[in-house]
Amino acid sequence: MAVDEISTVRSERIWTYAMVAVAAVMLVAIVHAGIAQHFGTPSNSIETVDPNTLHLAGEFVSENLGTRVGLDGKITTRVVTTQFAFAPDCVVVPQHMQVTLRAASPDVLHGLMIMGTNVNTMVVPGYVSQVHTVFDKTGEMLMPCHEFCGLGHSQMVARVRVVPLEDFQPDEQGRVSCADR
Amino acid sequence: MERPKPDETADRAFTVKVTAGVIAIAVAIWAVTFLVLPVIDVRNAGIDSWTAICRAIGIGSPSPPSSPSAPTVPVSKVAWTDLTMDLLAAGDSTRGEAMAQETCQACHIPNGLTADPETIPSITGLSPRALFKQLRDMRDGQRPSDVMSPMIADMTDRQFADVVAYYGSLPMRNSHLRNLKEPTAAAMTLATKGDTARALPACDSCHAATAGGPLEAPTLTGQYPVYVAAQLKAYAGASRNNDIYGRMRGVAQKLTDSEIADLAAYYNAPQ
Repeated sequence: MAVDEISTVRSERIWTYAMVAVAAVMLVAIVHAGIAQHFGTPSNSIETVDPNTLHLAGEFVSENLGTRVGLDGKITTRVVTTQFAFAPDCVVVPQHMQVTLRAASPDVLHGLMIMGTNVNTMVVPGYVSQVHTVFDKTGEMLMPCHEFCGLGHSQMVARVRVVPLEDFQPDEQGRVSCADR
Repeated sequence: MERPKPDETADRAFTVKVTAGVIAIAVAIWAVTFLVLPVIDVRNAGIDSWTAICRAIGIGSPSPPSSPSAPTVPVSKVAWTDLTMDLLAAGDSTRGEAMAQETCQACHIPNGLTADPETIPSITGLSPRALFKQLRDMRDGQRPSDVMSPMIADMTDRQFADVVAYYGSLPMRNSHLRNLKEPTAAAMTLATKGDTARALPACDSCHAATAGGPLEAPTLTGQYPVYVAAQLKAYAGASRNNDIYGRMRGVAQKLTDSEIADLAAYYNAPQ
């Protein structure tokens, strides 16, 4: 069937509008996620860290993991994702407070997410992954690894215990851990 | 049918519009991802807008948030740096064999047997990385041993690399078929599938002969059951704690005594 010039142009125009609409919807979705739901871009926290020596010194040594209230009052939860467990495998966080989650991997690519929150990030060896969040509901939530990391991937899960602020009692070093409770 | 003459004016106008549209979308996306979102993120990152924009385009390295770092006592000083890997790659099994004949073979016999299965593991055919990690930890005090630590106190990392190259090149112990028991169903499940409810990964995901997992994880196939059980109990009670990030302590603490016995038997069975 012959196609005349007019119908070709009309068809092109329709598809152009359709593609612009698709791009616009995606853009709006990104802006909405970024502004209203606070799915942050990772770019403001691109930090590198040597995965081979993660356990020897620096921020991600065993003693420094878990939830800690800093001298400035900011709450930071640090975890190491490793084959095939989270260290620590349980963290305590307070309700209705800004919490910064920082994660690093000594071995392979991992990921973590906490259902019902904006926490959802890959953990790439060599980089620190950082997410800011506020937990609205108390209770225990699961934080599974969501990037295939090896044969033990499906058993790699940690627990996140969200407690009311009055039950969030840091020790003299500012730490709060599941074991104290 | 004769092809109609193209309307050049209309074509040009269309081209201009489409080009402008594409550029507008590209600029909008660029502005959102490099300007708008970084500036909005600032409310949490504790940095000013200008720094956020710079970081979004890859300029400037952030400093970690202020937090006192705890005093560190590493559970193991071994790190798989390029230096360590090169050292292991250069391990010479001929020199290692000479050293083994002098020092190691009285207990760790090259046929895979040992003088005392409960305290002396079979080490033939184990990965050089697994053996190197334990030698380092025993010498440096992270896994103190009354027998091993003094014996290897004066050995260098290079000598370790040679010895582990030698033992790694030997065949694994061949479990004596007469002593084998059929592994229990519980052990089979734990070893091959793990237990999701307890967040227990399958043992085989690190400890089978060709598994992945941490580089230092040893192959347990053919290891003495009494030795495996004793080490699992030592991990569970944290009297052995040279596992980085508590990866084995976490697992061993979740296992029951009967599971430990069953798993030890499982690894002695040929698979």
